[in-house]
Amino acid sequence: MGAPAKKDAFPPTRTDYIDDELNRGTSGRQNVNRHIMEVYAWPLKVYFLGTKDRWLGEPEEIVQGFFASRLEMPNFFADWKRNGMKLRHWLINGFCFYLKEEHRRRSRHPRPGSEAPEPYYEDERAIEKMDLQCIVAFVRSALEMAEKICMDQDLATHWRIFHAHYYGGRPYASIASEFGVHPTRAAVMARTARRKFIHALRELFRRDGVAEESIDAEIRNLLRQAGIDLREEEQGENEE
Amino acid sequence: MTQAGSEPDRAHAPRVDRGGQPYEDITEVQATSLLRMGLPGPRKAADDLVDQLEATDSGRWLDSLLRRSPFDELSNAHIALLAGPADVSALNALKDRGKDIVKNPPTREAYLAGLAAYYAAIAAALVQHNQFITRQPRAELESVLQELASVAPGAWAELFTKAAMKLSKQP
Repeated sequence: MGAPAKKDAFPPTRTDYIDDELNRGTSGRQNVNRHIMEVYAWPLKVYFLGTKDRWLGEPEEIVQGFFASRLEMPNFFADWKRNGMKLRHWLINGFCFYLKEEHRRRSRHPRPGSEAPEPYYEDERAIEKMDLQCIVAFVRSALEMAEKICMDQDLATHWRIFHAHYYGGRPYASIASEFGVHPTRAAVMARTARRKFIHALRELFRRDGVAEESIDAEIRNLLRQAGIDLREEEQGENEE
Repeated sequence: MTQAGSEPDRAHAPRVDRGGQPYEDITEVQATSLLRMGLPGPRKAADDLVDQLEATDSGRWLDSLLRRSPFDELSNAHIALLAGPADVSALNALKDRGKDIVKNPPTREAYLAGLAAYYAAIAAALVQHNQFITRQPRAELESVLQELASVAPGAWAELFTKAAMKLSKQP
């Protein structure tokens, strides 16, 4: 991936988790690749569907092709670290290059009757779009991870109450009657599942190469990209 | 760790059927609201106790606390706090002793014991005597008790949950 590094305006990331896994050899590399495929397949597909390159193929096929071509490259992660980009930006940058490669390849060997349009490049916009899609991707992955943890720990009802309140937006009074518990107990059970979700969310950032001390800044950065005003919270923190 | 209300879920299927991929229907508004949850709020002293309860074998840790200061100043502390009844004045004294230790703790372990004594005494006074023995704002205390209940083991989770219920019923 040869794009010039885009300087991040936010605290630098470290790559402890990824370094540790890569140092473990093949199985560690597989863990890192699995994390990337699980979290990023969906935002890359959504991104692809929003481009004029949709004619290149089915989103699933294109994204899997990208993963196959890049994640097995011996220097993929070393190049990323040298570059200094956030992992998601490195991936979307690489994905744009991959689409260009596919565009050229298919233009050289056009299918009968098809005419390839001019390639459509938008690297800067792609990074902005990727940040917004990554909010959804991270939260979805964290929900899946926390749900599995709750099921494994016999906290299925806790999870369902968390889901009804925090995902479904229902008040505890209504949820409590459905589950036959006091509203306060429902709130306590939701908090248990909520903590699992928060741990899962922060773990995903860690697996993405964000150092523990930079996770709050990373979340704030993404929320600002989504147009969320955090001034009130930040003011409260400064007064602490 | 046993958590409040952790009875097996038999009435409901464990996984919500959302059709297709899990959480495929999530909106950007839901996602940003849930992402925001990942940002810690202003840190309070009670958060140190919550973290400790979540990180350790909290049942064993709390049992060991009951044999040391300040809990050892309360006669038969385990039964007095979790089953009762304990005298309100004894609970008040335990709360005050816990508060003093938190203000000037000789060690981190003593600091956490002080916090545990403080909140356990307040919760027991609410549950056993319906008495509010602190000047903390009720809403703030209710939230702390809920958070403690969400990570505390068995009988301790019940104590904190029932105390939070008392506050939710009071004006």
